[in-house]
Amino acid sequence: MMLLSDTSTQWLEIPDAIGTQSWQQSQFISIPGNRWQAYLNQVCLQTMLPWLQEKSTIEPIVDSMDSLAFWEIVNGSAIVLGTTRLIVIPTEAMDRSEFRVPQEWIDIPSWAGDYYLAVEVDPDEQCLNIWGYTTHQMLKSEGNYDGSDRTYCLDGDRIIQDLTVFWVMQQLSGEPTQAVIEPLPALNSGQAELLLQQLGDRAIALPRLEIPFLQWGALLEQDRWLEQLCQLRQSRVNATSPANLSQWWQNVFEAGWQAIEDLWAPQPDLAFSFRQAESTQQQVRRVKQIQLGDQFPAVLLVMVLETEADERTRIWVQIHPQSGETYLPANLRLELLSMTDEVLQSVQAGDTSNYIQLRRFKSRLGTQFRLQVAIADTFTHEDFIV
Amino acid sequence: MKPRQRIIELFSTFIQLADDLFDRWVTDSLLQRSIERTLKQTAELDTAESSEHFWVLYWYRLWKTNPEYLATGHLSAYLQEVCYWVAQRVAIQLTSMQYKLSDCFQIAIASLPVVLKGYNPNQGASLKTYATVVFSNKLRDTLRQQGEANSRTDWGLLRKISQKQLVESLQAAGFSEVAIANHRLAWTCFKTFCAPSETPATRQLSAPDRAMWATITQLYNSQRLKQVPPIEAQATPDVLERWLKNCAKQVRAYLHPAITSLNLNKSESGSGEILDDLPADAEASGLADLIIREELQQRQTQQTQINAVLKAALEKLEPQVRTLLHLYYAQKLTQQQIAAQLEIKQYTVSRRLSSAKEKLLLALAKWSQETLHISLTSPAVRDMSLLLEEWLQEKLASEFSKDGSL
Repeated sequence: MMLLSDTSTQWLEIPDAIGTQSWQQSQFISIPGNRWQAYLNQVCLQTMLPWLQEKSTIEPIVDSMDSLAFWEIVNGSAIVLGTTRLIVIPTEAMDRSEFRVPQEWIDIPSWAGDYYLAVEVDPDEQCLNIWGYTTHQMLKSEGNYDGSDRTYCLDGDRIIQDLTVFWVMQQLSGEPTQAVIEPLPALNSGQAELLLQQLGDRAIALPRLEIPFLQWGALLEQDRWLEQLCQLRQSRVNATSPANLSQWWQNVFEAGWQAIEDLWAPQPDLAFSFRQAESTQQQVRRVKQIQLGDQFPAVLLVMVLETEADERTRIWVQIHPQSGETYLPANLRLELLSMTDEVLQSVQAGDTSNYIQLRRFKSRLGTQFRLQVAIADTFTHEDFIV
Repeated sequence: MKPRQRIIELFSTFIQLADDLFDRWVTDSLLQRSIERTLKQTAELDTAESSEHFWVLYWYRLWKTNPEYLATGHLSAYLQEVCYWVAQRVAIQLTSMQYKLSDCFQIAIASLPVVLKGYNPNQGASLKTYATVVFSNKLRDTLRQQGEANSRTDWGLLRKISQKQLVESLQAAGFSEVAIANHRLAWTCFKTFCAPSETPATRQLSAPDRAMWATITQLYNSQRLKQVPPIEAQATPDVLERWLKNCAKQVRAYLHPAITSLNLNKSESGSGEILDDLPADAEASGLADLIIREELQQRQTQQTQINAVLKAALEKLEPQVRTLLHLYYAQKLTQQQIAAQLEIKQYTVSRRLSSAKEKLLLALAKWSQETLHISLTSPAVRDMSLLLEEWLQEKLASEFSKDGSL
């Protein structure tokens, strides 16, 4: 009797390092579902690249924004394999009843691909299942357009689930894969600026559904506007309410502020600068992981508080590399800003800095200040109220 | 299992299980009368070997023109064995005691409409081969989905389904279109804010807290007017929570359909006269028979050619790869067993098998292009892949046993 053919679908394990790193790097995104989407995209892309290389013996080139800030906005990536453009669309869904592709990957001329791979990311089992593929043409002609989330959906039974076919097609000369794509009307920079201002608002959870697709597509098609949009959303998503330091004494901490030992194992030698010896005062020590975009490793922002006799709070601030790293990224800056954005203190890491710190400062109850961490053009900040 | 010999049996009897094993073939009398009548009208013999393929195509064509015909019943009877073997193979591999052979059989046979809808006799593979693939996939997917549904919280489950499955679940529960639109939007908003925050996993995802319900509600109320048609009513966090819990409930019900009686010969209860169900026009039917015979002849010729092409392609594979194919397709070992026997990793077995299949499929595709002038599109090559699978599973086994060289 016949066997179950189990050679045609492809399961790939997500390497631990890729999972852990993607998870950490995605933490800067504040909207949970978008953060999760960015995480899924990164593990999917990073796990698939070596597999594509192995199967095709061609170096796969990522041809879309390979950044978490991008995936916060749009699901999917483009990969060029020789002369073929692949669009990889991750999904969490375990059923194979449909393949849902965001309109951007179909109707923006420079984004559209030849082949579209449907990938289930299963984070619980730490694996991917590449469960089928289709072409631009089939999505456009046989798929249904769903206006409610601007996607093209193809029924699961119209997807080619046998990946043997995909790899054979890559060795045969070009089947027609793309349907005709209408060009999008161009935007002038004035229009683009207005749209960017509107969409950069962090309160907008789903910017891709905010303005008509023709405008949205035209905006994204220009790399510089897309990058600008990502940056706007990145810097603004951090603008949360200030951490309330007076509450810290009651053991009430804002999200992300952890005990030193939670983020650091083994315990770092903090004694060198946070010497308790000079006073017998009680201290509060907390650390938060700071992610600067996804181009740089995360760093740790360490705060130590003490109460002065005059009820002012004495504050130490340091930046350390995360556990396992020796040096901070060169030229990393830590700045203390007043609420009017005046720089009160600034310190910069050298090529081999193990940590950097601000001079201790004292603040009265109710004072607000901002700590800014920056490198090159990327920056993030944390606000505090004493 | 006692194989069915006669055409009448093949197309009118159903498997009866007892103690979760094959017990006997049960005749559906309506189907039996139908096939007896049809047999009289044609010159086909009632021996399974000579005309099985003729009758498959005959009922398939009839099904195509009118799916309400008895044709579905005949084809369902015909595919009983295939379904039984698929179910048995899967049931043996299951470690959990939760599923019996009869459950597996039920789940697989439920996808009969998918088999009939998707089958294309022109691509050359038999209905049995195609049904095997569909039944196997359906069974594999359903078991996995039911397992996931059982191990997930409502919230973890809601992240793990497609929109289509959500909508189908609500449709199956009799929701109105308006209600479905409301629930669907609620689900989208839920997914935007409720995601893992501690560890990257969703199975045990916990319920949104009050603040999160507030943001979900805010998004819902801002998005509802953008829907086509717009959703009129505002929602509150309580309403959305109730809706989403209900969504999870309906999805669970949809993934675990109540197992109906194994008695599949439902046509028994149908009141239709047999005469109504037969093609009225004897002349037209004669013409149809002729077409079927021509089709079968073409397929026969094609299969002989394909056999030659694939044998030649097989010769070009390395001996080591041929051994692997032999173990897998002729000896029917699992990948795990092969890995153990050859002392290689299962991953390697799987990789080498796929790569061997790719080479054979490429040879078949190139031949089809050059000889049959078929333009090689993905769907065309997918059909060839099915043919290849059929050849590997049926012909390859006998080839190996004939020359005994492996």
